[in-house]
Amino acid sequence: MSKKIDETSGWLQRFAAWVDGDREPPDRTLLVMERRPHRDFRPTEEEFERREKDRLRKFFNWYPIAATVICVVMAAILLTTVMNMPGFGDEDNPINNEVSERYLEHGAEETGSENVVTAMIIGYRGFDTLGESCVLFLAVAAVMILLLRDEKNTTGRELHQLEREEAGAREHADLILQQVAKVLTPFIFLFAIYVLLNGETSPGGGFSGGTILGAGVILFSAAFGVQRTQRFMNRRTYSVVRTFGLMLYAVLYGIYIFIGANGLPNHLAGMILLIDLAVGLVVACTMYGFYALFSRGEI
Amino acid sequence: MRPFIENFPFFSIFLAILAGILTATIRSGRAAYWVTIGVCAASAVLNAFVLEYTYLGDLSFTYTMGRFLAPYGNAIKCGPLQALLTTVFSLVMGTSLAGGRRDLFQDILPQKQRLYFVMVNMILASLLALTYTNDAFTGYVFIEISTIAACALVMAKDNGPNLIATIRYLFMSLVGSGLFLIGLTVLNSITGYLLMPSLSEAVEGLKVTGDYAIPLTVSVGLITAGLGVKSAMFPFHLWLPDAHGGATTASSAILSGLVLKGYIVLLLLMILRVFSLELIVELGAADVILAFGVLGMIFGSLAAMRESHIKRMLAYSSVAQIGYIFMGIGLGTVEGLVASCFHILVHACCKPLLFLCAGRLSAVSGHHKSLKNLRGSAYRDVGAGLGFTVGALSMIGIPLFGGFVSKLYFANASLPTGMTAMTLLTIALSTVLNALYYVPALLAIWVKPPAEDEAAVLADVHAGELAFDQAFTAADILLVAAIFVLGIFYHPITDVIEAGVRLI
Amino acid sequence: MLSDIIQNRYAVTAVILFGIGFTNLMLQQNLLRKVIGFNIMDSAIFMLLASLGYIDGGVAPIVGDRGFDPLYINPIPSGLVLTGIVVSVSITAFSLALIQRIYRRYGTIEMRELLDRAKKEDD
Repeated sequence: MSKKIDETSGWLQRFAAWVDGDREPPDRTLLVMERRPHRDFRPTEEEFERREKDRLRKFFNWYPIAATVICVVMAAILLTTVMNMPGFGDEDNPINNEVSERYLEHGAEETGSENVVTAMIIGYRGFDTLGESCVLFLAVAAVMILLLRDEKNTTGRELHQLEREEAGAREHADLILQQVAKVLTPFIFLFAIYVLLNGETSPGGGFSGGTILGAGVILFSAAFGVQRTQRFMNRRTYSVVRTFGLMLYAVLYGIYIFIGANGLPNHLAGMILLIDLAVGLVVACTMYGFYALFSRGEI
Repeated sequence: MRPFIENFPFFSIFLAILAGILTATIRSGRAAYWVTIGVCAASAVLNAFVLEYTYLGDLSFTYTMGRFLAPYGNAIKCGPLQALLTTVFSLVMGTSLAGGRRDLFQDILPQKQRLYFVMVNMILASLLALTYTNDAFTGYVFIEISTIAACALVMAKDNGPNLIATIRYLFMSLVGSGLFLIGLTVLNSITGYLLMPSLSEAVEGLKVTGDYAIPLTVSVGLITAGLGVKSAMFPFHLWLPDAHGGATTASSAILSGLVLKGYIVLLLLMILRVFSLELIVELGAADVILAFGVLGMIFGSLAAMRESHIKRMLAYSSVAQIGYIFMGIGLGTVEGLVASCFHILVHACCKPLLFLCAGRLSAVSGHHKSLKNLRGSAYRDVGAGLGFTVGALSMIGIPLFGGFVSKLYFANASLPTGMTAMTLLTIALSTVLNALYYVPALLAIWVKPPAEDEAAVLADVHAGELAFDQAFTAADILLVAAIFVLGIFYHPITDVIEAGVRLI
Repeated sequence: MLSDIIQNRYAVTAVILFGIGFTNLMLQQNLLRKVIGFNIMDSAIFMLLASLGYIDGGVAPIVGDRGFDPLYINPIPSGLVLTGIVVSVSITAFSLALIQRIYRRYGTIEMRELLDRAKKEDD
């Protein structure tokens, strides 16, 4: 691009040269731009690299200092703040106001859940919880984009190695793990269902129950290998269950909001239980999905 | 029984969420694309009805998300401003997808395209929810949704530098949302509420009694800083050029044009509904925002001047434009906020247009992105060249284009404040700086290079790329029209914004 | 001063933890350590939230028919913590997946080295 610009070249070319950063003798130009430092669009390879390295080094020189200052200031500010915050465990703190009182006093009758935390996250502030389930759903989708095997992130060699490892695991199955899993898995599932269904009356609910359910599936899959897990949880079932769970939640809660906001009569008495189930499905799928994607890149 | 139209904001949010869930099951990327476009269009129509309803009725309404009134259950609140913003956001979202369509289907592997559209739908849902929310904690949840989805948009192209840009973006976002969450926690501990109207009352009470002055100040600072970090306020903008510059065209357009705005809108809501402008000014937070905004305007432009990679240049220019918006907020007056809101609209139309055109221009130049290789590319797709020109002129602030009006309003808003001289000078300086990098870019794309150079570039171009791109041209025309509308018929729009700020 | 600290011991601990997490998130060069820093930071916020809801002598807010009327703790912060935990789990998984991919591609997870290499690959 470093073409010489001769005297007779047109204004168009001179503009082009200005854009390129090709310099003309300064006395011939009327453009203020020329006073700026030389704008070189095509430095040599090495020079470019050196310049970039330089910038990076400079960046890494000042960055820790700035970050340390920010951190120290931050900690100091926060310490002062908590010193001035309401005291710990005091009943008269501003946070214990009519909202929590109403949740505690009327939560059970208004939402049908004796566990007030469940009543709050699904009944009173269910929209937040829907958003939260969406976060889980999105996280799995994002991890899928990253780790699901495709031609960009897996080479043939890696695939081959993975197959070999799996074949090895099949041949030399871990006896202790299998026996323990055989005994434990049914109980884990049972417990998960218990926690899932009793979220209204005791500690538990969709999130905790779903996690236990997911843990059970993970244990089973770790002990008995992919093939046997895929008999009941292949990619198709997985995506159907996952989508169904969140869909059920969104539709149910959508109807609930519509009814509530428009003051229509409420026929959704058993809603909390259903939503807990839906959340449980979403969470269990998320947990198992993370495990499967991280370990094999497949579901 | 409320009027049926008041359900529309809720419908649009749920439509986007449901579409996000559904697209995860659609096998074909094309089908998912059309579903997403349909959802954007439907949401734009719904919100346009709400806009008409609220503006003509001069009202804003609260819609309980559930059976329980505030402060017990979640709620959204809708006025003219929110309806206007969401209408524009949905429209621009659809247009960005259409405009970046060809690149999108090329850059992303076929089996993962549906997941991309999941992310896009969820971003739409979170933008709508962030704009409409009347509950600070709902704000936090949807901030996180848009964080994950935005990071996924950046990395969808899936090459090395992209992954690194994503992780930087992710970590910076985590700092931002951590600060926001702890700020919210402190605020909740001294007030006991999460719904904005009750929060506002409680803050009012604290202001009168003078209790908990330090925690209140700190929580204002933390919430502002958290949202500032997420929307690339000046000293926290280092992640932005790589993230926005490296992503696929549609992602860049959506991220720069819309996602950053969602956080700013939430900040606006917190300032106007919870803390009130007087408190922000009194605590000095406004001055800090103003200072960062002004610095961002200058340093963003200076950094953009150094770039020769066209998309990174546009990304740095976003830093400068975000600086404008924060400057308007920092003036601490209603006029400043109106100007900021108008600039949000202008930038939401302008930057996607620029990114789309840049993407198209680079597609007809063999996907090279440095200015030297884009020379004369405008002649290969005149529509893209014209679109880029309109966008750039609007960014510089030429009359008749949208950017001019917002600068006018910023200047007007600065007159009654004590910061007039500095603000005006910064606007002038920033305009000059904008021109200093947009004009060379314009010249670069419009001036034909020597034949042998052009031939070298053309050798890299696939024949299919040079074919006429209908979806892009439609998007191009729509956004150019939007910029002219914003630049010429701006009075009705600012009227809506003024009414919206009054009724917020 | 000291009595203040003892009075608000949970909040003070939480804030110190937050500081540690924040510092790690900002200053560590190793991506995995950054993720751990983020997790410490979020746990600190959850601790702060949980301590806010506690009332001296309160019991878990499950309002069964127990024959007497006990003092319950505030249920709101507990619910918020639940939400926060879910979000932090999701983000942790996402960032770990990203780190795995980065490691497979570049063979390192040091931020500095990565930045150095990414610059070279850019067009």
